[in-house]
Amino acid sequence: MPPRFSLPLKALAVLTLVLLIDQGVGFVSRNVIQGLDDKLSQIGSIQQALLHKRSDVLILGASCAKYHYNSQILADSLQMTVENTGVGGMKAEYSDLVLQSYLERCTPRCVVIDVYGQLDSGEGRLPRVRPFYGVNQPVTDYYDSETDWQQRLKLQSALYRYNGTLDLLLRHALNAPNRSHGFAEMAGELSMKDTVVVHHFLPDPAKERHLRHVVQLCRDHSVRLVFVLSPRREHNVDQEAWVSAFCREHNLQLINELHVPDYYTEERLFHDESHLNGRGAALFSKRVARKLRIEN
Amino acid sequence: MVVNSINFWLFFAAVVVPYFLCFRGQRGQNLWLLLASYVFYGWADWKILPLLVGVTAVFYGLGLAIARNNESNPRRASQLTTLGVLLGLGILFYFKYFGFFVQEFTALFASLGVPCGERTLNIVMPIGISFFTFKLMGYVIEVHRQTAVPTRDAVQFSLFIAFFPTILSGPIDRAATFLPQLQRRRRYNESDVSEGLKRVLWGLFLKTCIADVIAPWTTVVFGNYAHHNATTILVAAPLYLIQLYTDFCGFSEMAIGVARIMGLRVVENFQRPFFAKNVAEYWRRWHMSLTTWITDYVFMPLNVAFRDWGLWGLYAATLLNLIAIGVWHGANWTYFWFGVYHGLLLCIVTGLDKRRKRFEKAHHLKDNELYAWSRRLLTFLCFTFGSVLFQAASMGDFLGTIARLGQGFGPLYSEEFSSLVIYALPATCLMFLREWVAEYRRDIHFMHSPNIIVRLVSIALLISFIIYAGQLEGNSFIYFQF
Repeated sequence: MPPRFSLPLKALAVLTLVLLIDQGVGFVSRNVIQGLDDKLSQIGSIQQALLHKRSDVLILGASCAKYHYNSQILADSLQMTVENTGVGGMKAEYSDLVLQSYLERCTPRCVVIDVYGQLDSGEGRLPRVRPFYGVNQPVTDYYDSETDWQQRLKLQSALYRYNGTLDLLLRHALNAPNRSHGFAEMAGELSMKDTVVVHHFLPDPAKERHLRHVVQLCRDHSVRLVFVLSPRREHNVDQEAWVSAFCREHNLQLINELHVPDYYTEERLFHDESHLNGRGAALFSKRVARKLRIEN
Repeated sequence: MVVNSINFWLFFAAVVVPYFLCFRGQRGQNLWLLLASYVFYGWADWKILPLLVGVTAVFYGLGLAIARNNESNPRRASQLTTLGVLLGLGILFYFKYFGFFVQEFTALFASLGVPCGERTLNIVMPIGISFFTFKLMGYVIEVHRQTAVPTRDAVQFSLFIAFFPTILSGPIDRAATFLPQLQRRRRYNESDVSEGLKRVLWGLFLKTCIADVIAPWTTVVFGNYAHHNATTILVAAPLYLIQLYTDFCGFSEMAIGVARIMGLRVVENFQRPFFAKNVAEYWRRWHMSLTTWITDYVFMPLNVAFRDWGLWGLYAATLLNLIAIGVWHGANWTYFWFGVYHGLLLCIVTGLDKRRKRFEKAHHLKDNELYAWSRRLLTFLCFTFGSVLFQAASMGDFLGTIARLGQGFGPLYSEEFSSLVIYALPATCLMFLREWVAEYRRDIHFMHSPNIIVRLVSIALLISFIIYAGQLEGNSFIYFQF
């Protein structure tokens, strides 16, 4: 007759096993993610931005940053090193975290933030930085100070921190090496001609706080900060007004390319309503570089 | 407060510990559970709580009145039962369908050149209304048929209606099986707790590792069907059926598990529907608590009423039965046509039944596994088509989605598809393996293995997989909207 164990004893055994698996998965995942090579994948871009990259010019933002700022063109034009840390679906918190991490390693001469959509509410893809909890100080501080006790409790588990990373790692393995300093080129042309105008903009208070923190950090470290509204076929007039007022309030340079000059459309430089294709990005990067040089 | 949230489990712990430790009799336990159920329901929507309490009180009185008149005045008992059913249907109609009918009639009169003005009714549909009104109506019918003994204990009756694991999304329990359980004290029982926890864990696995992993992709595809090609639609359709099953079955497993921990048995809701060999069998395995309810209280009386019409009477009863199941889901033409579609399928299956049996006998196919699996595949495909109708927001959307199939094939929409392949695919294989083992009664066990090491390791691995691969900040349950 096999020995009978009580339910609490079995629960304890299961808990011990889960903790062992948790530690094992945590150890392997931490080492794999920290050792990732520089590729254009999402997890690779986040890892490089939070842990490794250094440059004179830092590009912050979401997908518009990633697809619009051709780092090579900017670097050649400005004669400085440029890193594009844009990741699709990220908002102001991520920009703040990247800047804080950057400043722990080096002091860039200029920070360019593609601000459209940075203040929209919602988490976006921020959970993708969870694997860096306990590894990267700004990320750890962010979760410790800005999330509720349930989230902090869950973050003690490595399984939870690395939740959903397996497919990111697979996509990373299949991705091309990052030889473009974070810039990714979009293919295809959008045939749409008209610009869609949207109204009503209510900045998310938490995102606004992070944006103000970005401004403060740049001030404290004497880093030049430039806000950019990059061209799009669909734009929010109220958001544009808000950003303009914000830049005036903080005495910041704003490069506003929202009022798309005709040739952007005529020459079919858009991939979709919100993103430029490779040719559009090249043109846009040259225009931004010129404006950055003029104001320098 | 959904079952797959930390808040729910804190709430549950605060309920279950005093439930076992502080009460010496069933009365205290029932009162405590009723209080917890009202808190739980009020948490979801406190403004609707008076409605729940009110209708419970009315049906409690009706049940007693029907029982009193059953022997002495059967006619009055029938009238009271009819009143109860009409009241239940009236509540359902007002909260669930009234706005839809007003809209449809306004549109109809407008098309006939009789303007009625724009009318928008802001009737808030109480969460779980389809589930608790069916319990209430079922109770008065059962008392009238004398298949259930009416309870004089108002707390017991209220708890039967408002029992928190099942009030939001079923299963729809029957008074005859649930009320007797409330008449005895439930003691802490290790095997019940263990079995309950395993079912909760399995439900959580279905919900977080399959349903919520598939959901973002299918939502994008069907939400923007006009931008997707036939390949993507053809992949999304069966995925949606699997999502629907794992979402609802996951909830049912958790509800049954939570009840089991407290020593209460709740009726089963699913029995491996993907192993059904025809549509009729599928419906006997899918959302069983609803289908048996409608079969008992809609199909049977209709079948008796139409018996003079022979086979056509059976077809009519079947069609109306399935339409009732369809429109139970909500006020939308898609649900009506969903019912018609399945009703017609069932009529075809019924009509061809004798021929099929002759064919199987002639070709010795009865025990042929390949033939059985091809029938299962055909049934799955029939339900896949139905699920496209089920998920569509309108008939226009459904027809638009189907029209995309004629627009040609192309590359599969691959955004975030890798997470489906990496997480949902192995999880779905595991689900099918478990169901296959149960269906074929194979002697392979994981969480129920007689070997304690296999059992504990299986549970630990499943928990780890849920935390590592599950969508832990996932969606609400699909059936909450009904």
